[in-house]
Amino acid sequence: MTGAGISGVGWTPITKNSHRTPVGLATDAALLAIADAGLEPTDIDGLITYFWAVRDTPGPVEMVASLGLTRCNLSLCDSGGGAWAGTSIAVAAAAVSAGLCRNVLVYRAANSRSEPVMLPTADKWPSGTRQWSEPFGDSHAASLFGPYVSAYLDAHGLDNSDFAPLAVQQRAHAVLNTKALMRRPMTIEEHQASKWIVSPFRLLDCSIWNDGGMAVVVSAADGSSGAKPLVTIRAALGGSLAAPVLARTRSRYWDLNAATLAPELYRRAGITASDIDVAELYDPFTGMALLHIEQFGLADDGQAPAAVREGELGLDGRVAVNTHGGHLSEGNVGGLGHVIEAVQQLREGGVRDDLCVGDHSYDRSTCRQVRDPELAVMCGESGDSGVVFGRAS
Amino acid sequence: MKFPKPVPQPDVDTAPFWSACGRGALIGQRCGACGLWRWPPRSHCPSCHAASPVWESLAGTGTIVALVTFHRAFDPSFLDDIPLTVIHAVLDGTDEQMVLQADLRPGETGARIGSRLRVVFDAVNGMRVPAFTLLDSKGSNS
Repeated sequence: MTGAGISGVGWTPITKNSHRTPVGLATDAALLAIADAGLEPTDIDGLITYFWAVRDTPGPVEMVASLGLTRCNLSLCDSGGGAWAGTSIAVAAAAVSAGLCRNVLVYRAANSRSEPVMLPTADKWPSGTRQWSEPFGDSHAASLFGPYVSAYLDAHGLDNSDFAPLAVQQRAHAVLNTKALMRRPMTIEEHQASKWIVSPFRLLDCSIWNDGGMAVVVSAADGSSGAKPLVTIRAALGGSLAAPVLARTRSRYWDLNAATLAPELYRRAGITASDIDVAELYDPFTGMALLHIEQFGLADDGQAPAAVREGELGLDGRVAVNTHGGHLSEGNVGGLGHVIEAVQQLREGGVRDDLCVGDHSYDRSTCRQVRDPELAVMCGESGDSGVVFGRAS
Repeated sequence: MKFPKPVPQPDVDTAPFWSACGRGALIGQRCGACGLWRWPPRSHCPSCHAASPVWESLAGTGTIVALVTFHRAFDPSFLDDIPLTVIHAVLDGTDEQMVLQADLRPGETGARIGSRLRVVFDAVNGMRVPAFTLLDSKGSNS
């Protein structure tokens, strides 16, 4: 146990063009999260956000001004990208547990679709680690992660058609999520007819780009913060081992940091993989989500596609995976959507933005609430970070 | 309009590699103290932490351990190369520790994990960068 919990969650609409500034989006999401926690903005005394390559999310100083904070004991704006979704929660939990802060706001907001950032790859003089990628045309997440997925497919005799059931299932979950951007049901045939982007990935294997903001409030679990946690943080870790150009041995070339982090995360939470009810796992591409499923111990080696096909990882399966639709169909706010969904599934009253009117019906034409979950896990990119959440007692 | 391709910028740690490429030679780096191969090149051994890198000539052959194929060009300077296969090649003679990411010669098809390779060098704006050709399929120029 970390002595911390999440006391509030908030999000803006996920759109193709927000017609808002990032600080406006972040403030909307923050105010909703703070109100959800039953707090006032001035109860926030720590701010954490993150970005990839170029800062697109509002910096803490902008949020101090926008929210009118009167103290800020910790602020952090790091460049780990989606890998840092869980790291941000881990740092926030450590800060409130140590008494450095009372309530830390973890947020991210960007107009990734309407105002895409100009990556440093736009220059033609790659230095440092970039001298090993960009001269070879490798300037895209698909070529950063695709090779490891290709090794996984080859080792297990799988191919792109084995990605389709997960893409279709996550879309079905997004149909039941009013904030999701992609809500038209997908078929296996549509997945297989979608164009190749960077093989092994077709268009419908890729996460979507969107505008939007999300925020969560991390508070001390003992109530000293003035907020009552919606869920407890049983364990949280965040640090990277992997580097895409690092030499590796040829065996299990597809092993990510997840394979190292997950066992340690579970050990600290005092659980095993089989205890998990809900798993919200980073999904930049279908194939990466499958690697995360296996390396978090939720399916045997090479068996994640079959497990999805058999319904084992659906809303009524043995563990429900990416119940909101994930980055593939809900939208991409750097993994905070996975955190928020884990909280929603575990909180009293459950998910608030499915199609149920009143109590949850568990009718899968309207309801995406998993039945009585006790534990949820989320992970960031490559399993570089991860969090285990528990239902608040 | 023809876009220039990215040109790698050598630094103190990597200059010997790029310089060797310019001579049409592929070299790898290992620790001068404990002998461990490492990649990419850098000052310190990640195992014994000695700062005594040594460079050794390699045969220039290897095996594909992972690959992707671009069906569209995200960098317009690679437009003429599409479909472009980017491979991870484990290089012979490096205790399977040196995995170089590079392009397969555009137009070569049939690359798969386990395919054998030989290095070639392509001129890019005054530098030469390594690429690979398949050793054992039709269409290779080996």
